[in-house]
Amino acid sequence: MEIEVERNRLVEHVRMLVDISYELAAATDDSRRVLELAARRLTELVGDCCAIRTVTEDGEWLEAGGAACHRDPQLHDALEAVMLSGRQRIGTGMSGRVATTRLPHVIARIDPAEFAAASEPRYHPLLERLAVVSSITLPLVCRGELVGVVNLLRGAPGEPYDSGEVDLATSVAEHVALAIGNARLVASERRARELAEQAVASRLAAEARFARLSDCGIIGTLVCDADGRVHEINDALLDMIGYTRDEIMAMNWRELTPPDWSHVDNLAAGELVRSGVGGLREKQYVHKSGGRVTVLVGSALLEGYSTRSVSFVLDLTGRRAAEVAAKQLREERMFRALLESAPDAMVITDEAGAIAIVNTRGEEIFGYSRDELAGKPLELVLPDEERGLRRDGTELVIEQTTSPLDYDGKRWVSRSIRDVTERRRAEAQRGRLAAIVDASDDAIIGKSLEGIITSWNPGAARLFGYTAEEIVGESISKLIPVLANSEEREVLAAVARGEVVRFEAMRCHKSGRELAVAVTTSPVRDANGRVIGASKVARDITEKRQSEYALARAKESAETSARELEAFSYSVAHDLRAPLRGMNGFAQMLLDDYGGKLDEEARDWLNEIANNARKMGALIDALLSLSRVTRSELRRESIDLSHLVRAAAVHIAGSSERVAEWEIQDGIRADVDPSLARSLVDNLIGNAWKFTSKVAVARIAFGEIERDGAREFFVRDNGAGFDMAYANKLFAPFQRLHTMREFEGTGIGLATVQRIVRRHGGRITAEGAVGAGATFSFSLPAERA
Amino acid sequence: MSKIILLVEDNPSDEKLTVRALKNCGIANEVHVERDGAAALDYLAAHELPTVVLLDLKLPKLDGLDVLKRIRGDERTRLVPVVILTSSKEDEDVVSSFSFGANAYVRKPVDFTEFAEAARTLGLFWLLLNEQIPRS
Repeated sequence: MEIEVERNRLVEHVRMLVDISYELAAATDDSRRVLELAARRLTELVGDCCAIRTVTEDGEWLEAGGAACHRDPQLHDALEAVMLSGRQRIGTGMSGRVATTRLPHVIARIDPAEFAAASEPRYHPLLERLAVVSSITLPLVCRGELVGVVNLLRGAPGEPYDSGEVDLATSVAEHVALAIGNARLVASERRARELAEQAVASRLAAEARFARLSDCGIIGTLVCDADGRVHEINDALLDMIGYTRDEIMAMNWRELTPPDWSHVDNLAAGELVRSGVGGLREKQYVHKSGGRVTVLVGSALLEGYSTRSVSFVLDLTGRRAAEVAAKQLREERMFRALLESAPDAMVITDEAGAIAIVNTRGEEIFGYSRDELAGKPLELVLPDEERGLRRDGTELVIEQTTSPLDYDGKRWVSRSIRDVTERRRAEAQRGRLAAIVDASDDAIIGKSLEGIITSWNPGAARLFGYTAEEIVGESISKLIPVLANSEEREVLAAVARGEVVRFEAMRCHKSGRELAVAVTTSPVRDANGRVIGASKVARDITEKRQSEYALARAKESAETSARELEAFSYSVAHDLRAPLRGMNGFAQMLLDDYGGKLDEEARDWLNEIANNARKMGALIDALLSLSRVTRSELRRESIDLSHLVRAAAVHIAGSSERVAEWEIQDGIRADVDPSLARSLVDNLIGNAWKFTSKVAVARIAFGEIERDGAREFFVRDNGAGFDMAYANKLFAPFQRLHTMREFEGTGIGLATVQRIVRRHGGRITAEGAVGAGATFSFSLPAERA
Repeated sequence: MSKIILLVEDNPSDEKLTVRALKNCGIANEVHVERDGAAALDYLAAHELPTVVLLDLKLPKLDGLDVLKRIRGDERTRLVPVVILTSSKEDEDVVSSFSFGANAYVRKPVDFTEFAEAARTLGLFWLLLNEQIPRS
């Protein structure tokens, strides 16, 4: 509506200008008429009253004459009397100052005191009488020369002057100034030469009239011939159509009217010829850029010409553009606000893919400021569709939507980019967790605090026989034997308190079969930490139970066997030895008491009986000690092996007359079973002692070395040694590498040694050569794995 | 206290060998033999206490350790020297014997010469060197 009103007013405005221009042009030869006409027109147009005063020849004064006009005839005389009664010095009073500055002075809403102070005292009574509320004071300038001043005053109860009225008054004033200037020119010509013909003068005046149209007006002004030749054009019109003055002078004005509008021009041309005034018309010009400019044009034939006319052109596009621009500005601001408040990064790129606009979120996500990003290729931050690249080099997983954007004749691309790195990670995590839950052999069940099943994994389906469809939504009690229901209530109560409950219990399979399960029930919390349900992980331990049972039975039977073996060993020790002792003892006694009555051979046989009994006793002892190694429970203590070796050496060699050199490293300790360690040492030292019996000086060494980062002990002798080819036979029970005649022995000692070492988790190896001694190296790891 | 040695032994061969071994080394004391644990306790209850009891572990009726426990549990006999004389050298036997109050543990060797030597040492120690418990 407002635009419509404004538009109507503009149309009226142009119509008046056309009329005034025509009238003024017609009155050029009479400057008095020009002034009166102008005053009357201005009063009509912008009222309430108008006074026009001209400048004296010397430029010092506003002349006492001029023209004044008031709508109210009574006030008209009073105004004329005051305004035109005396001249006013330029530079003083409001009009005087406008004459000096040559700038319009508009007081839209008058403060009476201020206004009184600004104007000359002699005007005060008049101004009071007029009850002035608003004033416009305009300079009249023609060809750079001040020719006069216009006063427009409006009295109460009128409205203050608005900008449209000021514009109109200003435009009219320009024409008035021209008319005054021209009238003066005409008058001076006439005076100077007194020979100019009326027609010539008129033509001169008409040409001069538009010689310098104001270049700052908002209304385009054009003087051109009917054939399209341009004589005068002002800057406002040049602005509208985008050409320079030189370009337009070389063109035909009619070229600017597109063919679809030429009929309007034709109509106006006919009218112009008939009545001297071309009808007011809306039409379009083609702008230099190719665009269309919508204008309102009014024309009048120039006085003295039959085909030359002046046209006033108002840029409707401009007016509209301003409206549109204001609207656009508003929209742009809103667009900005929208852009900035977007939760996603927004990036707008131009046709070349260069970044034009980035919002705040975009700056945050990519770590660049918008200035840094402006003009950069999009690839800087978006190497591909699904990846973003931060300034610090970290990659982002992004989701983006793009949409084309047509603006300013170009194709832009708007992108909305969301950083989904965290979300994707969380999704992947959730996916992995879900996969784990799905793949789990354990039953993983979600339930509410009321015991209603909310989730059911394939493991649960396998364990309990129900599919998820069958059971989700049912009560957990479906799985629980009737007798155990109260226990489940306790579990849920504990979980509700935030506890994790682990227990073993019986549960029911869909088929009714009971299962033994190990259950862990944990609270499930919401984001605020409130317990909202429970997760239950159940594992079938039926098999475990069975295997535990089997294991227990096996252990029991093994223990029984061990006890039987124990009893057996005991009787071996006790019962087998007793007859041997008898055999040996009575043979011995026979020899002692009746030896003298027997011959040599009989005595030898009795000795054989005694010896064999003794050997069998030794064999039984050795077997018992071998079985004891595996039978007895391993009890580890820190034992001083060096001490054991020394004790064994003393025991074995103490009463011997053999020459022996012992080399026993001190302070070697190991965590071993005390009784087995003694057996180990006794056997090895006994072995070394036995096999060195045939060397002149026995050398037996015990020590510790490190091999492959582990401690190893050794017993080395310089005795008979052995052939490495038979090294594997060394540790087998009853295997002997020497004849009984060479070295006595049971063949069990080294087997016992190997068993002891193995029971401690160690290894034993033997190295040697026939006649060059032997070395037994063994390890006794601190703890068995 | 008498000079009697109480030998508790169920094996007749061992009994003969032990007596012989003791004699061989000139121990002239009377050796009284009981052939099971119960009989040994009966003997102790009915007679003057012996100088030493040589006690086999494996015995009919009451075994050696039970006999030992009874001897130590009886106020009258608790101080009688008891030497365990047995074929076993199981650690467990040795440990329980001493823990029930045996004064010595001797393993009967298969070899009679050694056995005789062991008996001689035993006899010397318990009959000659060891101070007798004063009569109360």
